[in-house]
Amino acid sequence: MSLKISIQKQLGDFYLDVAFEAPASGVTAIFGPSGCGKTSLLRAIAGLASIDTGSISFQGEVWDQAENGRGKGKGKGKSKSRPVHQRGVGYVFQEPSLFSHLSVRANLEYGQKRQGGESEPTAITELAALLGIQHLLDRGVQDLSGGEQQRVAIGRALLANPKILLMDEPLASLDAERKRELLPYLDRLHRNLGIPILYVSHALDEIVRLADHLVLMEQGAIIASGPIMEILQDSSLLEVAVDEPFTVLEGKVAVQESQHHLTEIRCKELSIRIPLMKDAEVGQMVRLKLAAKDISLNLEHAKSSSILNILEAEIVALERSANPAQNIVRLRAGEARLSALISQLSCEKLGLEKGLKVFAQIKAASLIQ
Amino acid sequence: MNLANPDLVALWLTLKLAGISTLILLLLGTPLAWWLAHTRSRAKVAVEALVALPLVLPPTVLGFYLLISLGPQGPIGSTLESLGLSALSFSFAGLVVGSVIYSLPFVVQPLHYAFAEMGARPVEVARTLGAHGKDLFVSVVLPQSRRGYLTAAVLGFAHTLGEFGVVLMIGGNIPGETQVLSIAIYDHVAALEYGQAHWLSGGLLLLSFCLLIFVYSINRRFDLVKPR
Repeated sequence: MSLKISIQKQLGDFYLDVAFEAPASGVTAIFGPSGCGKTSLLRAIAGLASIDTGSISFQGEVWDQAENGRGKGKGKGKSKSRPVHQRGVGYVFQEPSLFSHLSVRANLEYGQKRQGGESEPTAITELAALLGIQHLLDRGVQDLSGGEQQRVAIGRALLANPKILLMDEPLASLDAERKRELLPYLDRLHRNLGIPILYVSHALDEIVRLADHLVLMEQGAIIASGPIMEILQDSSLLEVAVDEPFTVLEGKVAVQESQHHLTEIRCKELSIRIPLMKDAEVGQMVRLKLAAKDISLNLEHAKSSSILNILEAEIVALERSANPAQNIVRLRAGEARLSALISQLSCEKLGLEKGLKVFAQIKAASLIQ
Repeated sequence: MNLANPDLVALWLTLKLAGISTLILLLLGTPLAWWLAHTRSRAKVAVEALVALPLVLPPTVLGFYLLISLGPQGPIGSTLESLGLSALSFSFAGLVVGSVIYSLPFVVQPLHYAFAEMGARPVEVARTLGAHGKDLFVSVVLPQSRRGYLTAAVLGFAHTLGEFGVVLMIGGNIPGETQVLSIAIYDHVAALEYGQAHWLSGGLLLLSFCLLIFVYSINRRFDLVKPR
């Protein structure tokens, strides 16, 4: 654990009170509904906002320590705060926030130049290639699209050689198409960077795709934190932030059945077929999202069904959903957990109850990308 | 036709006064405008009103209070004399103090707007990228608010050029020391030397007009290239 946080801060009408630790590598996502204090948390870590009480330390260095009153308060001996420019954080804001008076290249060089000399001249070229902005280097920043600007902003933060990268909803200001354009670059960064990333978002798909660890927030407090697949297994946790119940399975590409245009994903002992992933390689890790509304239940194995993916499962629990006509049926298939949205009437007709063996028919499984 | 020597002296003195005052105003105005753009203090309104006071106050009122406080019997004047310096009334230094106060709103307001328009973000970005202090100011704040600085400098300069009441009250009319253009014009008119008054007035009119044209044109040009 490299980043240790335990802070309290009064924010208008709610109180931010969080404590968690983030690992020294990988993407830690901070996830929660809008206005739950995610951005305030990130700003406190960067030193852009003060804390009332608590402490922030990174790799053994104390960044913030406040016992009472304002975090930035001078004197009193007990409060100290390391200035932003000495923390070595890379910060990617929601809006690209490029310096409009500088070219793309000068924007990229801004942080690099302030790193005390050891910058390599090839670093910009390499990173520009990774982010797909090498052809934009000599342009002014106003000519770039939103997605291009955000890629430059990410590059600028990384070239300052930060010890940790903080990203505050870097995709939120972009439309769906630009998001799709940027996500692969974030994926690549994730695999190529040796530093931890803290990624704030309220978009579940982004997080399920990118994150290794998850910190789940609501109303200024942390509800859960841990490895993402563990938290995703407990789907009731996520429903505070997501309207529709769903589950996520992690698996490996097992077989490419090109003649049927299908890809078989093996998740431990389960196997699920999805439409062919053209560029996938056997053995590649993927995450599948199964919406509860796309799962139906059958008491027998329907041999004549057109549905490809039928899994044997056991009912773990029956819960009410937001809609009184429908129940959420929690299932266990092998080690995996699934949720199905089943009408109240069907639950009664089929006599669904805890412990019953059923067959879950998966109408659709979407690849998270 | 030719400007008499005292007029050239008055012109030089006026330009020197405007230049020095503008420089001091930019130095003082920057932290003041920065504070006004970022503070949440309740004192902000009072400070804003105080800064704007010279816009509405008769220059003679301002000049009167300055004369009282800067003169040998005034609190500032007597302190300076007790330190072995001379009082500031009827001196060039006194004129500089008067001009700085008199033109304060013309410098502080454009800077205040420029800083408010820039917002906190560019500074935050620069800090996360390792910049701080003077480096941050020169590399980000100054270029991002260059339009505000140009406007402030030109307006401060032009406004000081036209100063009359304050100068008359605290500086009097000492050629080569406190006699500025506007007072030289007044003297010419009083002496019915309309020819020389025309030359000086016309020159001042043209110069002020050109400076204002410059202010409005830079504001328009920068508007066109503003991001988004």
